[in-house]
Amino acid sequence: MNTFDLNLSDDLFTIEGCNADEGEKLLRPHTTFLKDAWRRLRNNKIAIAAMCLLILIALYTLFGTMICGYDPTKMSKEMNQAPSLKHWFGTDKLGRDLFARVSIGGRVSMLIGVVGALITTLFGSIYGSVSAFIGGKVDAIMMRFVEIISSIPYLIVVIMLSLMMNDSGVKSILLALCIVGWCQTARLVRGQVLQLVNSDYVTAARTLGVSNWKIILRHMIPNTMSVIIVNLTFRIPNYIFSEAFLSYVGLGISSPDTSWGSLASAGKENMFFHPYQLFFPALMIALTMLSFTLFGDGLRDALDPKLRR
Amino acid sequence: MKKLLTALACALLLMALAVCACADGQEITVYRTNEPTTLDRVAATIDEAGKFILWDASEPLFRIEEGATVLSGAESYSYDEATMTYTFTLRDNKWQDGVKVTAQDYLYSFQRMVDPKNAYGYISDIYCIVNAEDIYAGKMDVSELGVSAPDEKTLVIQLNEITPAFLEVVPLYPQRQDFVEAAGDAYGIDVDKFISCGPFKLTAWEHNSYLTLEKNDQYWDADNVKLDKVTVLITNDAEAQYSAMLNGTLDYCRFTSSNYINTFLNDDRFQVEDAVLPTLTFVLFNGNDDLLKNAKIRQALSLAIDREFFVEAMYEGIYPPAYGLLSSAIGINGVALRDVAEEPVKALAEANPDPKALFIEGLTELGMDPDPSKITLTFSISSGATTDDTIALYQAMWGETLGVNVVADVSEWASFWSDCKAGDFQIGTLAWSGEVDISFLFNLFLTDSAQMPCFTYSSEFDELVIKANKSMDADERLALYAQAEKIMMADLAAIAPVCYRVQKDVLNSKIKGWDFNVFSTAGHRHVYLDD
Amino acid sequence: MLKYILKRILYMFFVLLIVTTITFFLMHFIPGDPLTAMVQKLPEQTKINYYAKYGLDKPVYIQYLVFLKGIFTQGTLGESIRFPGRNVMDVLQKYSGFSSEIGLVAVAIGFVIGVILGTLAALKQNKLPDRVLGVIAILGISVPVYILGTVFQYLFTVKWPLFPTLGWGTPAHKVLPILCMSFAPLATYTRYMRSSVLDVINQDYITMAEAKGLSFSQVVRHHVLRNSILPSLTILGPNVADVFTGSFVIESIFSIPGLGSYYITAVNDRDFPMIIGCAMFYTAIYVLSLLVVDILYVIIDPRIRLAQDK
Repeated sequence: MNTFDLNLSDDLFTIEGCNADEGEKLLRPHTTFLKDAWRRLRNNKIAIAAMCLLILIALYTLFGTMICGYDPTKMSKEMNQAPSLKHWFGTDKLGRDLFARVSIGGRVSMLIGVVGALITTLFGSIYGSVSAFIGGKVDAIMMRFVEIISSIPYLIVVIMLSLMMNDSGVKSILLALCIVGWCQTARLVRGQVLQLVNSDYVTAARTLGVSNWKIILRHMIPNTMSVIIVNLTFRIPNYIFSEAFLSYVGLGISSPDTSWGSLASAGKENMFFHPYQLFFPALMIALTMLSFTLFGDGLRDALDPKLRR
Repeated sequence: MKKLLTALACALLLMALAVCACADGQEITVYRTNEPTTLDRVAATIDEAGKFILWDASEPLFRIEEGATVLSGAESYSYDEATMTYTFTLRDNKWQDGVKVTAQDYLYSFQRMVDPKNAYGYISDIYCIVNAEDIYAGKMDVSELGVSAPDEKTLVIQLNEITPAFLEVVPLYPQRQDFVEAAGDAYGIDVDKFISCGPFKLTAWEHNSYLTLEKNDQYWDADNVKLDKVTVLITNDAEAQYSAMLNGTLDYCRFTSSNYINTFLNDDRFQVEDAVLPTLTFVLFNGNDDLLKNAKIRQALSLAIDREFFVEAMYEGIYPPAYGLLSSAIGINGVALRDVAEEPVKALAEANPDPKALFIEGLTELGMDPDPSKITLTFSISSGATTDDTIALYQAMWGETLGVNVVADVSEWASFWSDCKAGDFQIGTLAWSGEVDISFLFNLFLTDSAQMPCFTYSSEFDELVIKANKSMDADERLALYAQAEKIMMADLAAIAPVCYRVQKDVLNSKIKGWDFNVFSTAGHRHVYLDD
Repeated sequence: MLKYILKRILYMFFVLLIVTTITFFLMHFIPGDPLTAMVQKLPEQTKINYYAKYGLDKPVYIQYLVFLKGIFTQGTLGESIRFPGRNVMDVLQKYSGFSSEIGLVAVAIGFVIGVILGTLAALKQNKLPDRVLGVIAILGISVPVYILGTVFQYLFTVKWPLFPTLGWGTPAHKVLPILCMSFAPLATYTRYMRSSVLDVINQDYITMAEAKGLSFSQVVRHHVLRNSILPSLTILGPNVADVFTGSFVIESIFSIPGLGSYYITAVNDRDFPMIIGCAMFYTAIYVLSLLVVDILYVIIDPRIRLAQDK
């Protein structure tokens, strides 16, 4: 129907007037950024489910040995047994209960994964945003520095650190991974921030006299949050795998500590005959990854101001 | 469309022909776990893989076949006891390009070996030859070496001391001077930089992937070499080897896990054979350490190892537990030491049924607190697939039986070994392989050579071993070595033997003529396929 | 633009020099040298001869200067110590070629397919395709590559003998390794792409473009892709460089003559010339790929100005 055909005349309309108070009425309850984010997250069922799974996994790594009652380092004569009511995940080739082993392995893996990822992401994000924000020569120098650090062959760094610190445990691996790992996040964030640095609201904020730090913290980082979070959810399993790779080459965690990566590595030997020895650590890695990813997605959706509903 | 179909048909036909050719041809595929560093037999870094290829691609004067030393490149030889001189008469053999193999070629190889610029690593094997040591140290000229070639078919080697295992130990390989000089440092690293005078010649080499050897028609015994082609794959992954064996990519593989073996045992397509290796896995004690300098402490630690449990847990019982230095693979002329002497640590165990009491005795002798739970031992080990399990086992065994604490110190091989040699450790573990020469493992413990970093010495041991090394009487030697073994393994417990190694060889059931002896240098010249 | 590229190439040499120096000295301070890697105790004389032959008896800084001299005067990186006679430069050239035939192809496949799948997932957000792709992406990264390799090897060469198990030489030898190595990049790029596309399609200018009347595919091609591909590109750079050393695992399993196994063997054996050679190569590729990515940044997103234009 053509609007021009409507016979609109003035007597079809009455003037309601305007209510000055209505203009000021807040349609939504007052809330801070974080509160709002939390509310949105809560409504995302999948993210909540993922968070619950993560909590379950964390509980498993903390209390798994207590639940099944076995000592993960105790060897027995029941070697290479398939999962049963007695040993829920079966036993490994030295007769140790796998449910307990995977549980304590989780502590190391999660520690390396989460702490490592958090540290590198935090440091990398700040470094990258500062570098892009200041720009110019400082940006160039800071990025060259990043290139140099990330170009050093990380195997050599790992060997050096484990020798210098005189132990090949969690600390030296974590340190080595962090030293080389923050570079990727820095580059990523720098890329995103470069895109934002010339946008209008940043120019506006600068004109208004907002200090550089505040701009970075309150404008840049929240807007690059999605990339940072996705990166974070990748880093965690990435670090778990890096540790697994180091175990494969011979530089990983040593007994009596263990990690999901070393367990998977050890399980590979018996893969064709006792596949459960490989299956359970790999399953834990997969579930952890899945949960972090879904949770990360939900977190991203919740924190992204543009998706506000 | 018609063209496409024709092309396709031709391709399929060719493929079918190729498959048929493969099925009928005398070709086998074997493997090595490492890429050979070089095929230059006298290079500084020649390794086991390189030596393996050379059994096929070169012709030494003698070979070890089925445990016996047989003439190969040499037609005959004589040994003069008075002058300690060997005289070899060569066969008529040719290099793959038709040029005759002469005694000069063997002499050239020796000259390169002793040349100090070459830095040949196993030089101590030929110190028995007159002037070899001085030449290597740079004190004399290469021309003064006690090896000469008076004519094309005669090689004369003069020794300066009695060397019972000379024929087995010394590398008697020829090299072509013109080829070596043309290639320089790069001799032996590629097909075009190498020449063969053995049963096979090298026709392809893709580094880190595979080598191909094909029958050498110029070989003196070419009529009796039935294989046309041997492909050597370089693969270090056990599961990959398993898959390759199952689908016929590999015709031979060596496994240690009984899981894998069971798959092949009941399958007619494969044959399975056992062989005991000359390798000993042991625990190394640092005799200079404040705690371990006491023999009773070392004995107690040795006895506290539950060897049966260890091999069951680590190797599913495939490896035999070790209570002595030599496995049943090592002996003299087919008589193993184990055939004439009981393993000494067994007697030690019977005499000392309570290792903990022995340990406390040792502590008291040292004037230390006799409570084992106050002791923390540092256990050094190099990183590898079984490191974790090994550490866990020793922690359990010594912890439960003796009540001590054990902490592990893991480092990768190069660091671990350099620490051991420097005496920078308390307890370590590693494996060492013996050789066809029975004296090899014993010589490691001699006070002078001190190659075994156990820092425990015995002049009585030295006397016995040196005397045995100088005798040409097999029975006398075995008796002397047995006594020496008892001193080092039981009385002094310089090291604690843990287990020997057994290999399970799985082969394609069509393979015949395979030599399963662990010291064999026969190569593949007697192997053939037969349905 | 040209000035910028030249400046960056100069920076590249500078970075290469610094990293090489750091690696050189780090390497020499780790205990062990090529000789200690060999088991048998060598006679004193051999050791002396050996060290002299390779110049390892001189103090570290002299060795460094000799090394530099070799590069600048003869253009050579020396010879491997563990594998005598093998020229490091030749090894790098030849075997990086093999590694890249597997690795680069895998990364390329992963990138292209990952970008497509990621975009699809984002456009059908929270519907079935998104969920399915999400799970595939997770699996791709969760399963360690050595497990994937062994399983595929067994499945496709023993259970269903379609491909050769080991070795190198025909295109058939490349299929399984490439397949195994492409899972991880595929999953990675799918995730990154999905995330950044989601960001972009909620922007105002996309709504504007749709309102203008542009067709859906036009919108995706002209606006969405360009704006969302940057994070994936950022990861691509280091990914490409990692391929040369990270492919070690697949190379071991499938007996592929690649650079990865040379590198790992060299580190374990302390083969100094080979370690430095590989490290320099890796650094050069890495820095080069970063340069390429930075240039692509400018081409793709005009908002990003080159450093000196500000």
